Amino acid sequence: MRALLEVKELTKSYPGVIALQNVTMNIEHNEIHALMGENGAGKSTLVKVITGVTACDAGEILFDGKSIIGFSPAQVRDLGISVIYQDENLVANLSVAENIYLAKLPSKGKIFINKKSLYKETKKILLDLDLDFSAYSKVSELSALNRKMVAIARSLSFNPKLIIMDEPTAALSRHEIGILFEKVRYLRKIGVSILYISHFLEEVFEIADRITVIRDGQIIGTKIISEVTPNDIVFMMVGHKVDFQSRKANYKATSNELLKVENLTLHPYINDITFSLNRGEILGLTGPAGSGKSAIARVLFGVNRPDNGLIKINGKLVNYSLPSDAIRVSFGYVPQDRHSDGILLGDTIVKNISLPSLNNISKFGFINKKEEKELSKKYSNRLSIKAQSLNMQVQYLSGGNQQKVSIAKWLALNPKILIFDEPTQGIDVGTKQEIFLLMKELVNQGISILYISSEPTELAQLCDRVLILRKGRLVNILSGSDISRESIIKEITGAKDINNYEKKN
Amino acid sequence: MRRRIDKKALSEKEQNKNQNISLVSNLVSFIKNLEAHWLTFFALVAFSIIFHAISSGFLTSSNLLVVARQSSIIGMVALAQLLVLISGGIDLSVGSIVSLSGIIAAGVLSSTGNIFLGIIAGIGVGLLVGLINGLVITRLRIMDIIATLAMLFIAHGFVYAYSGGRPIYKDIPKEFFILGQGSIGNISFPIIFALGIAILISIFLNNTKFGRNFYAVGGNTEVAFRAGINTKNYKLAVYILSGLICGFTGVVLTSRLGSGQPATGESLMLDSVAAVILGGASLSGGLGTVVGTIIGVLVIGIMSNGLTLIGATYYAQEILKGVMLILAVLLNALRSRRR
Repeated sequence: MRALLEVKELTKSYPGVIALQNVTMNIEHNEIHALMGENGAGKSTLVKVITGVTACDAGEILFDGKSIIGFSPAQVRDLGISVIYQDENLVANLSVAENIYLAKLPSKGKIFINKKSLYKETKKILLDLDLDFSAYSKVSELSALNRKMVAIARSLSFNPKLIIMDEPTAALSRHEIGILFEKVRYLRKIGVSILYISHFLEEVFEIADRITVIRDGQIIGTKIISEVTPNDIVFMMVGHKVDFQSRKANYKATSNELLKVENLTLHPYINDITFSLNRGEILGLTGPAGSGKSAIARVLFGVNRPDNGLIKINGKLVNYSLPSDAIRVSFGYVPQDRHSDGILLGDTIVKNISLPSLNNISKFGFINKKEEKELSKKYSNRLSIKAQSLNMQVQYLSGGNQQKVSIAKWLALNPKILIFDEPTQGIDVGTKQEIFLLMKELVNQGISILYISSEPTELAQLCDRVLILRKGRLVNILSGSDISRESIIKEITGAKDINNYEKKN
Repeated sequence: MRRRIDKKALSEKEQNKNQNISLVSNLVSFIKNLEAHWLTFFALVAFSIIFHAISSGFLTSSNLLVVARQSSIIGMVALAQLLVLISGGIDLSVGSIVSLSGIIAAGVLSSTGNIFLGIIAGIGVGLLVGLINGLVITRLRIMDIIATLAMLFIAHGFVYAYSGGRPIYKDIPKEFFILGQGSIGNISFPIIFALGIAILISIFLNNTKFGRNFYAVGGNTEVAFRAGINTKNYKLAVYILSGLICGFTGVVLTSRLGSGQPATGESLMLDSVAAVILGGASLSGGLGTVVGTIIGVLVIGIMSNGLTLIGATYYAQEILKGVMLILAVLLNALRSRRR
């Protein structure tokens, strides 16, 4: 029998990047097929090409023996390929039934919704999946697990032969994952194949029949899960690449503690986390999606209030309610999404850089404009921001230069602790290296850096210690020579735990 | 505990020099702002020339002073609206506040005969209504547009409950009328008040950190919050300021008319928003200047004066105002899209 989905020699490039290179893989009938790879390995691009969202440059995709190249997303869906995205794409204020049939509400006379048949059909699907919530419930009232179930029910309403699931367990607890897996196995039983994209090796080994690993846009291999070990998979994901030379060689373990976080909890993102940050240290914070790494930054900066926990600076307890409090105790925070949280797009470079410092350059509330200009000039030079003039609006700058403005505004305040949240996202390679160099210079000046990242390569290159988080819990701390790209990937995916588990048995 | 940035000690002489520089740079930015509002400014000039060609009475100093006096009331309310729009909100209750303050001032004046008390009562009512607006928006977290729409009705209701729908003019001391009817030379007091408020707000917006923070709060509240700005307090403050200015306007209007008129403020809300938008502000916040607002107010003022002068109906003014508004916003958008 032919495979359900055959991908042959698929190639896709974006300006300057080859996203997919001669990708060949297939998915059988009644199969749960896992797809793993680092961020940027090409997983999303592959999904986009298969589902018709993006066109490929070359190659062939056969679904049930029929070419689907050039099909629109709606055509691909009608043929039998559904996707469940990480954030489900549900409308919170509509009912379960309305969400499931959003794209094709049953109608009466082409104008009115046929509510009777809508809820009848929905109840049938809910019954099939053995789900215990009502078709009339609003999606906003459902738990994370049940929202995922609605997404599964919706994809089932298209009578799919293949469902692609992108990180379906990110927001779920261990118990909920068990329930989700039951449904996934049920889908396989009724003849639906699953392409299961995940960062969690443990889950992949529990649920998948086969696994394909993708790295740098190339397929490294497809294996039957019972014939490999987690370590084999990590090796496939990491490859033979040599680690970049890291800082840890010249890192002096000062253990001069600046910041101490004790029992920090913010439901449901952070669960009882304790760690410290030393003077002049780059402390990495990493974990898969939903691990709570950005939530820690938001709490430390006063954007979110924790449910529980203590924050101490120099051994002294600090109390938080607002970012202004965090700024007062010398925090700076370069956010992940600079457009929504970091810079004022419609304002000039000068005004953006001086914004947090206005208190320091004003007298009786009046801004000393000369001082403001000098301050902005100093820090835009420090970061070599490239612009025709400092009075240029930041929306006309390149992504890299915008990020530099987002960093410069905090440097201008002379912070003692600087939080970088995924500072290299959407930034060219050159600027990336500049930012890394800057971070190294800053810690040499005694500034401490909390560096949140999901890039194992970059973490290994920069960090003195790396905290590994999973589902809101601190699971391990790597330091010194233990830090490598491979060890970080092993920790993030949980490969180590499975190995230990197997040894015990 | 504020961290100071290492700054050079400036001698007094240097500081004086800085003052001069900032005056020059303010003048430069004034001209630049004119450039940014070239379209509305062009409309202003074009309307003037057309009206003068049709009716030679238009470009005379006496008529232009009439335009200025008529515009001064809208002008003060528009400046209040400008502050609100910059901070990312909108105040639909401005007209009702003007009516309420005017009628309360008239009532207090007519019952006590005390000018000082009347003025304070009028302004105080405006301040109070603004405070309530601000509290409802920041503490009860009700959207600006809904909260101030509700206040439009509430204040309007109070105006009619208090006055019974009739003007209040009995026993108001004559000296009170100086406020709205007096003048220095040919320039009447309302014009001077409007200009005074314009200058104060311009300095406030351009030269103080509070003004700068208003732009930041309106431009992107999350960025402002994360820069350490207490965004809630700024939102509260802007509605108090708006109420204060509208309260003062109501008092001046009562003085000019010689009586408290219940319906005086009704057209001011739409006109104030139109003027500020004509002047380059945006409903999404973070944009807008005093210079632009003055031009916007004058365009509306000249249009209604000129059209009346050449004998057009009031309805023609409304139609033209609407067309101008669409054109101004469209051309502004095209300008920024092109860049």
